[in-house]
Amino acid sequence: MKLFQRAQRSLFGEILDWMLTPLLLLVPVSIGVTWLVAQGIANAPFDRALEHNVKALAELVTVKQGHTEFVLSQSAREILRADDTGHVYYQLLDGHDTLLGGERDLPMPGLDEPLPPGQVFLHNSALHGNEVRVASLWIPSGVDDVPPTLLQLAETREKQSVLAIEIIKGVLLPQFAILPLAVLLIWLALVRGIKPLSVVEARIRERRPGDLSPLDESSVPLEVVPLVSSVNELLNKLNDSIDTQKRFLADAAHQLKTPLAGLRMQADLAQREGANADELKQSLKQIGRASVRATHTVNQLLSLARAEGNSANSHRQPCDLARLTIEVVREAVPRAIEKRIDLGYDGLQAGAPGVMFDGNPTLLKELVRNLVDNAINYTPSTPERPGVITARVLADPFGHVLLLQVEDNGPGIAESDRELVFEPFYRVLGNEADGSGLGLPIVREIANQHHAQVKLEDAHPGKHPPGARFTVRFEGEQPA
Amino acid sequence: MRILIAEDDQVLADALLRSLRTSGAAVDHVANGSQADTALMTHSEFDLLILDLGLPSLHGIEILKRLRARGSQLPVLVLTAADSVEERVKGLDHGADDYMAKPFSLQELEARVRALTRRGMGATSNAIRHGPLVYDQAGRVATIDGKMIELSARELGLLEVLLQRAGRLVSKDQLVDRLCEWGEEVSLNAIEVYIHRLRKKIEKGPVRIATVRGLGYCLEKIQ
Repeated sequence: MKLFQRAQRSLFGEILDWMLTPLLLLVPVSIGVTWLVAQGIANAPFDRALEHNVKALAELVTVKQGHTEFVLSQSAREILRADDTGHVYYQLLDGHDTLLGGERDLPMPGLDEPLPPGQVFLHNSALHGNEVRVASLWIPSGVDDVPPTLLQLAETREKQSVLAIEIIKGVLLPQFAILPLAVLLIWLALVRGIKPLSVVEARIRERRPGDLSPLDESSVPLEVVPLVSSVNELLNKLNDSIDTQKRFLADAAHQLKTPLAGLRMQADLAQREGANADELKQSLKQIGRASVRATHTVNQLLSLARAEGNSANSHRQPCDLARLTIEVVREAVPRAIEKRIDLGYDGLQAGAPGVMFDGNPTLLKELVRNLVDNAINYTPSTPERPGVITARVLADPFGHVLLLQVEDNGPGIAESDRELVFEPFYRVLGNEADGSGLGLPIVREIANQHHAQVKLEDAHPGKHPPGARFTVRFEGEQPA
Repeated sequence: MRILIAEDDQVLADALLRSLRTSGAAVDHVANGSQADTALMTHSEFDLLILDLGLPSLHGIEILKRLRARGSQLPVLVLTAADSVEERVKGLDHGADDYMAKPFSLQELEARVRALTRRGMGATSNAIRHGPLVYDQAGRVATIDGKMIELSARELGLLEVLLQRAGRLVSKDQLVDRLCEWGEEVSLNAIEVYIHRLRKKIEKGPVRIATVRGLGYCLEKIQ
């Protein structure tokens, strides 16, 4: 049980997050950049005017022999007059930093060296608490050791601000309008993109319960095709499995009908008029036999169902395979004696090293029992040629391999039948054997559950009869 | 009547054998497909084959196919545990004359056996008429002019064979074949004795069993 359940991941949400987050992060960046650019653009026209004006003003300053003169002519006043927005200030400092005119408080340009004559230095500054844009121009004194005169023209920045704001508004506002639109479009695109999945979902939902036909791969997006394809494979396997089950059920029903037919006939016969005691006895004996046969078939069916149902590794525990086998042999002795068969055990003793194996002891015993019963059923025994059956457990502890063998000296099983005998209800010899036809399928099923292989070969190749040897090979880690 | 049963289940085969023998038929039994096939090829004296489709070593349908391929008209009653329409159609199409699904009742089986052997003999009802002689197959009773005649099992068997082939010659060997199961021995002399006894009981009015010297017997047709 998970204590902290992770919320289910949403593909839609993830895509949206990955697209929107960068987008939203870019917005302030965009704003910042736009602001800077707007400022720069807004500066341009006013800077040009300022530069022009400071140069014009410089014309009115004359420097003769280190002595600066400045006449505030009409034209100068024109330049200096403020208009509706903003104020204009000027400052004229001679080579010795003496204020010749204008504002005292206008700060120096802050350059180490004055610029060559004719070059204007534009920069931002502050005057009386207001932000100003300053154009600074140096006028040479004409005398070697007298520093140049400094002329500064400053303008408050209202106009420029207004322009900057206009620009920003003009650029950013549409962006703000476009952003939600972009988000909306992305949203719609995603919804549209995911729609085929909903279509597939709807199609699956409206299927009838037993419908296991494959999904249409051509109508889903390319990226989902592998998923749908693997689902189709699963459906196919399921279909096969269900078909096998149905066939098995039908076969099982048929197998039971024959002993039932025998029962019914014998009962009918016994109830005939004129049946004498011997005939009645005979009928009853046969009824008994048929009942036993039917019961045996039912039990084997249940065994097979149980073996198949144990596919989870439930009830796994360490088992002593030698001990289980010896038990089965012991239990089978009476029947073997009845048929005058020599039944014996060979190989490792119970508790010997290497006999332990992780598995389901009930099922393993079932497996051994079916092999031994099969051998007893199908090995004929006469005084001249007695039947011999041997059960054997061998182990290779270093290779982690455990072998179970059951061999007989009966007629053996032809190569062409060796695969078929593991099919339910397949019987090579029919009549005499009282088998249900399910013994070997049960053996194979249980072996599969334990990841073991079953091999069938001649016990004595070349000899006649060759006999059959079943070998079940268990591989795996021995329990500690 | 000679019947061959091909059925691998011991209990069912035993019931069939006993009930059919009680009805006076000579019945033989094989328990797997290849034995059935061989028996059908080497013996031609059967009046009916009861065939279980699910035989080991050779499937019933295959046996049926081979039988019909040889041109045999032997009536065949098929028994099977599978009872779908497809199975029935398959069986009938391959030459079965009738089809019974297990489990079934004894009475029904016996009635169908009678119907099939009746057809084999060309009769349409259970009663075979031969002039004043009437033989009821179901009840295994022979009457002349309505009066019942006491006949032993052997005599009844003989009469049946002669009636089947009324107007035609039946050799002593043929009579032996049709009367006896495998393993039974009936000498030719014994046949003569049976015929003699039969004659005494049924030769009334126009009913006559003719002896064809050296060849056999013949139940004369009624003019």
